[in-house]
Amino acid sequence: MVESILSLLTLLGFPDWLQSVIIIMLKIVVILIPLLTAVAYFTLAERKVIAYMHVRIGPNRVGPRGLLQPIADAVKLMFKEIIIPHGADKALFLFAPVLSMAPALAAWAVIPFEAEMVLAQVDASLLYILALTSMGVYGVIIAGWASNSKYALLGAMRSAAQIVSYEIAMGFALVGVLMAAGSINLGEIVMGQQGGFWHWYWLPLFPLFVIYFISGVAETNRAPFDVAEGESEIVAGFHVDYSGMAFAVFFLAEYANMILVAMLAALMFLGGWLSPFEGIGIFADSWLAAPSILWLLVKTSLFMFLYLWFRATFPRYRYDQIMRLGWKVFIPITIVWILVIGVAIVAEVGPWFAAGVAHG
Amino acid sequence: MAYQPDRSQYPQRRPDGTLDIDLTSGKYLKLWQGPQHPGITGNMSVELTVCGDEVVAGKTHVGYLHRGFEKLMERRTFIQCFPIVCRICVPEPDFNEYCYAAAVEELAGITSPERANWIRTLILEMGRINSYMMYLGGQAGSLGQGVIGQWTTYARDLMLDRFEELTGARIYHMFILPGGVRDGLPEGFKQRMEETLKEIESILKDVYNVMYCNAVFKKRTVGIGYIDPQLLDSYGITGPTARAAGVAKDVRRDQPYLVYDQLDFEPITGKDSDIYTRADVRRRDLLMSVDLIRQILAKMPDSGELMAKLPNVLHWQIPRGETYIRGECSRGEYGYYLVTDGSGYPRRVNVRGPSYTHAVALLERLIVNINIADVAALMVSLHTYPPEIER
Amino acid sequence: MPQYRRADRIHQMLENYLPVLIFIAVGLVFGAFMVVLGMILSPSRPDDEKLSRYECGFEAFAGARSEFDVRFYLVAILFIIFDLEIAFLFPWATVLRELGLFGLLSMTLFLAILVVGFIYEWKKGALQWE
Repeated sequence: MVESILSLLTLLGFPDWLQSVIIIMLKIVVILIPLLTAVAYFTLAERKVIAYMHVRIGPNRVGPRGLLQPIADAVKLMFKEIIIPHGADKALFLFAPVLSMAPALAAWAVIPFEAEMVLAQVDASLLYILALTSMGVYGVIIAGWASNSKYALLGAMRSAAQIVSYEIAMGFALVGVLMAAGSINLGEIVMGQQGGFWHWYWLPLFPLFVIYFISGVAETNRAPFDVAEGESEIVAGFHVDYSGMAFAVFFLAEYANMILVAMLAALMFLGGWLSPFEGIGIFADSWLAAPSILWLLVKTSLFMFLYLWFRATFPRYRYDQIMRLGWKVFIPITIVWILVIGVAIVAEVGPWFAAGVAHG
Repeated sequence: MAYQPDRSQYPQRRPDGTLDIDLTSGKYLKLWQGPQHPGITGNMSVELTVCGDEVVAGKTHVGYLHRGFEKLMERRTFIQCFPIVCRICVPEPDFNEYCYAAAVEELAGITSPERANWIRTLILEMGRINSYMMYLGGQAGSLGQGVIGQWTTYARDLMLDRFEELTGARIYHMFILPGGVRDGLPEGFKQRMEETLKEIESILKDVYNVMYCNAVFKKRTVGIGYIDPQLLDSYGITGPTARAAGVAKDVRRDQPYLVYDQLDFEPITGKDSDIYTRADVRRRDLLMSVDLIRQILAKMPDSGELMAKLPNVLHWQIPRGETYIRGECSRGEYGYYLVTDGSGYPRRVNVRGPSYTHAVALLERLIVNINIADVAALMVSLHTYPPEIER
Repeated sequence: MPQYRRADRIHQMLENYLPVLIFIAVGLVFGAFMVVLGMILSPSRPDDEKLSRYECGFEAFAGARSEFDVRFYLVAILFIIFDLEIAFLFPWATVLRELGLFGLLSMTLFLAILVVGFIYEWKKGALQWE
């Protein structure tokens, strides 16, 4: 398909560089549209799932079974006034949501959806993602400062401190994955897990797996770590003074980040697009054992569901408890486990660290 | 682990006892919590002075819901007062009806029939269950756990259905008239009540598993909001809040009214006096109410008078006198002080609601040295209802 | 390896990063587009009360941009230190298999120094949150 578009563009007389830019833009659109749809329907899924856990029905008025609810929400937010409060720094106030949106989207450039199905085949893709997720802090901080509200500023400071603290635990967890896979490239990390369910990294890296996902929840400021927007204390945190589309952009960024964390967890610890039935005799030749993007989506949905489940059933941690958990529990555990993996690799403990599995 | 903050940055006290807080120093921040705030239990506000994350001083402001009931009643006949007393406390209105009716009966020399007393007790216990259900949802909600509130609202709705069956109304029942009650139990009520109680018990089991056994909930509530048992008398603390401090104060047992002396129960007490213990005492108290309702339904007479003979209520003059009627509502001791002067109107009605003592003076004392995140949980744990604070 | 092949490889690598760059630009443009769209489509009828910032229904006591707690700076500094450590660990982690025991031991030493610093911070109370 790419070839036919290319030949069409050549026929139309586009120069080479423009051709490749157009192809890249098309690929970006192909990623963005499903992503934004997923974000929109994730909000509906959240309301529905939590509603059923609450013994309610949830949105069911707009469209069949409430399926058009996200669209109605988007339209409503689009036509709502964007209020810029007195004393706010107007330029920064409007720039902050953009700054939190851009990294949430751009991180998807290096996510492989299947072997070779990736926009940018970058060697340091994990490093790039780590860098971009940290960028999200700027949006939060700038929003809190620009709103000129105490609640917003308090929320922003807390949220920033929380994000950077959990970034460390997350970084250490990623180091463990890198050691196991011997590569920073996400595609190679997935390929390092070949061999079926028991070969995926969740088993040898179990503590890191748990810490990674919990840190991911904390990084995205979601329950039970949502002190930045804990409504019973600082109302809505950094976006208390935002309304209309400016708020919606924050919202979209948060949900895009949640999906990103879920997909990364699936890629790094649950074998990405690899099938759980791989290597089991009876499934050997069927489509069930074949790697496919469907597996990746199923695994990602699993983590996305966990997000909603946490939100429905957990009370909120207090801020100091969150910091203590991040610094005094997660970081020591990750450091210890990195050493354990180091020893396991040098001793070539199978099947994950056996000599033949190494990449890179 | 108990919460041990560093107090080195704390404000000093001036010689006259006030706190030396210099807002311009940048060390302290003043924050409003309420009235337009999701973490406040109702129409009141707390002016917080925080140092870092910790509250160093809190001042409560009430007056957003003052309707002047006590004054209104002085211009109404005794029977005209009856439909407005229940508006004083929305989630548990029956206590107002009972206390007012009992006060009027005492001064007018009327005794309500035995069967009416049983039905009154039944209604009071049903109202207690409703009130505790609301509390449980609020306590979990103040910590961001929304699911409990939804479950308990469902359970409360079942109880409201029983109320509707019995009294014809869901919120303001106006069933306990001076002189008795308006009606007996409807056909099949006992059996439907038993089904409701079973459902409530099963929901409470879920609530226990999801809320009380949750590690985060324990982390947020154990050791927070400690009330010294020695404070109980000086601050007028009653009810489950006092019982959680280990003092078995319960008007139902200490000074039995209605038919409580014929029922078999022991006041529930806790010992740690923190938010968790108060929540737990209330949960167990709720289960005790379920048990009490079963006892009442089993023991109550099925026939008999429901109403004592009243004079013409439009010209009802009650001889001079004064009385204080107390009862144990879900929040603590509830009392009506009624003075009559021989005319057709009450001379003075004073309502003693536990919410006022708990929400104003006690809160201002407990709020000091608490993390701002815990203020909402602390407020809810005192179980106060704003309409009752101000009347 | 001949010189031109090396240049080719660098060119190839940079070409891989082009989509990333474009994606970041698209992300920025998309976010800005949404906000601008909202501003164009939505009404704008400001009044004094509406523009006042949220203060629970009261007049604000003082400006919001006051000083805040020094612990937030402390967290930022600790973050920079630890994040650097992680950046050092990344290349080591990828080639640990080639380095073998020597690599493991040297990184253990490095981590040990890090842990000593971590314990020092802990004991000093830098991780103490009220």
